Amino acid sequence: MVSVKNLCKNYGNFQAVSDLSFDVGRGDIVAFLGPNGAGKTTTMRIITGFMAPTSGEVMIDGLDVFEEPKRVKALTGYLPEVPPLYPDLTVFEYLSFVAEIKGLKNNSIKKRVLDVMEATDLLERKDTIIGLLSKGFKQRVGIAQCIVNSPGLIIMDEPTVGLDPVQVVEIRNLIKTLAKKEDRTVILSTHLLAEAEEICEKVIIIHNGKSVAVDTIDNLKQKEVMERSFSVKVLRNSGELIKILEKTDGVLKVNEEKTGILIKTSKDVREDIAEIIVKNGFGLIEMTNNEVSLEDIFIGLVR
Amino acid sequence: MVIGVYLIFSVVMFHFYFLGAKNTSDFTYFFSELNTVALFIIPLLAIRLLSEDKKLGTYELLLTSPVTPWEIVFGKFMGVIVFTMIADTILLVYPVILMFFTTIEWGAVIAGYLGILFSAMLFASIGMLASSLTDNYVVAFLIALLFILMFFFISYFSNSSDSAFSGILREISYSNHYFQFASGLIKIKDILFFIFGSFLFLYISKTVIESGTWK
Repeated sequence: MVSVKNLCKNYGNFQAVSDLSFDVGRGDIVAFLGPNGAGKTTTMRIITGFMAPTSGEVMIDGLDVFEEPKRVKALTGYLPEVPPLYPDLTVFEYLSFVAEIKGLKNNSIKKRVLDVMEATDLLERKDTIIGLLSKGFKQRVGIAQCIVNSPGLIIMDEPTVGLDPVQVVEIRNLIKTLAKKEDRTVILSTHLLAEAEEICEKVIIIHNGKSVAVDTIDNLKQKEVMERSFSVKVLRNSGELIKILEKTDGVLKVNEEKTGILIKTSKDVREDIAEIIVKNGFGLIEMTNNEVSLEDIFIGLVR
Repeated sequence: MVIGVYLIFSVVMFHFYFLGAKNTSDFTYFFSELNTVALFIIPLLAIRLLSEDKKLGTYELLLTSPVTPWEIVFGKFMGVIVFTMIADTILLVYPVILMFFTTIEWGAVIAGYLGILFSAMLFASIGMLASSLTDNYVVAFLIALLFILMFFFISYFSNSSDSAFSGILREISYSNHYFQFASGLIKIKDILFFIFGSFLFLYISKTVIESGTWK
């Protein structure tokens, strides 16, 4: 659906994006992950046709974004970091305006706008002036505008930033529902890993304008789980246990931490270690699996 | 509110020139002075056209929607023109009122009205260009003022001598062309000046918007 090849964008001497390439398939829900300043917003602005890259190519559904802008833009919906709202219009007026400029036929606009408002739970605010809405509602109007033309591709830049915890959950659920419907492709940028894990299946991790990982979350975790770790808690003789463990086959590293003894292994030797502890009478009281989190992977990649 | 200010100004002008029991229904000076009002008010309206979108973030919405830069420029431009026309049509009340007291040369009134309209077109297109260059209203206003001042310099120098060069300047002099309308004359040459001038500024505005998408 989206194909980015060798994208470069320079602001003067500063290289915001350098040689970025990735593909997103139809129906994928992808998180664009990266620390602040990594080049996520710049890349999104280029994909949506807002600004041209210094070099490189972006194709959406086989069409070049800068050769055929009108056709491409009719297929996409974009929610920038600051939702593009006109504070003097009512929600209904604004969404009707967006529907019109996105090319919807006049006689279908009213129904479509009402449908979208229902899907984003905005009907009760239909005639409220946008300037008077709370941030959470404004964000919802922002989401509504990016789906009003039933786009095949939705691009959202940090859609939950600045919302309170309750609103964050609501918006995430809304995005998940909208994405699943009509087999839409969604690219969502965030620096919140929990958000990426919750909504998306695939991630593209960007750092300093370059991509450092393009994969599904499961695959990424699989690769990192080559090195497993788990921790144990014993009642007695932890020092002795550590010495024994260090000599055990499969154990890479043993650390005593506040939460227990952290054991890094190259293969699953939990059963062996449990047996060792019990045989020696050290008093095994807890064994916890430390799952590799996306956070660890991310930090590992962007440090 | 802006229409209100505009109308108040024109009321003041109207009375200023007709208070002195003139026995003439010569509207020339009326339209000339009205133009000075337009000179400030129209750019003030026009500089918001794109700067506001840049400030609100809706500029992104416009440029990522399937509308061409020309549609954006022209659409907004027409917004200002229609607004001005409504305000100016209300002004036609004055000649209508006078009609009951004296004979009105309607041709002259129509010409003056057209002059205001064309003037508005030119100033609005200048404002549009200024707006396309910045997101700061003050800077946009200053840019627009700069262009308008340029026109006045041209006018000044074109009328100061009779050389061939002055002749050329006279052809691109805003005030000379406008004066024809204010005096009641509708000439093709003057119409073309305004249409061409407006188009030029609008075209440059469109180019400025487009330039972000050139590789």
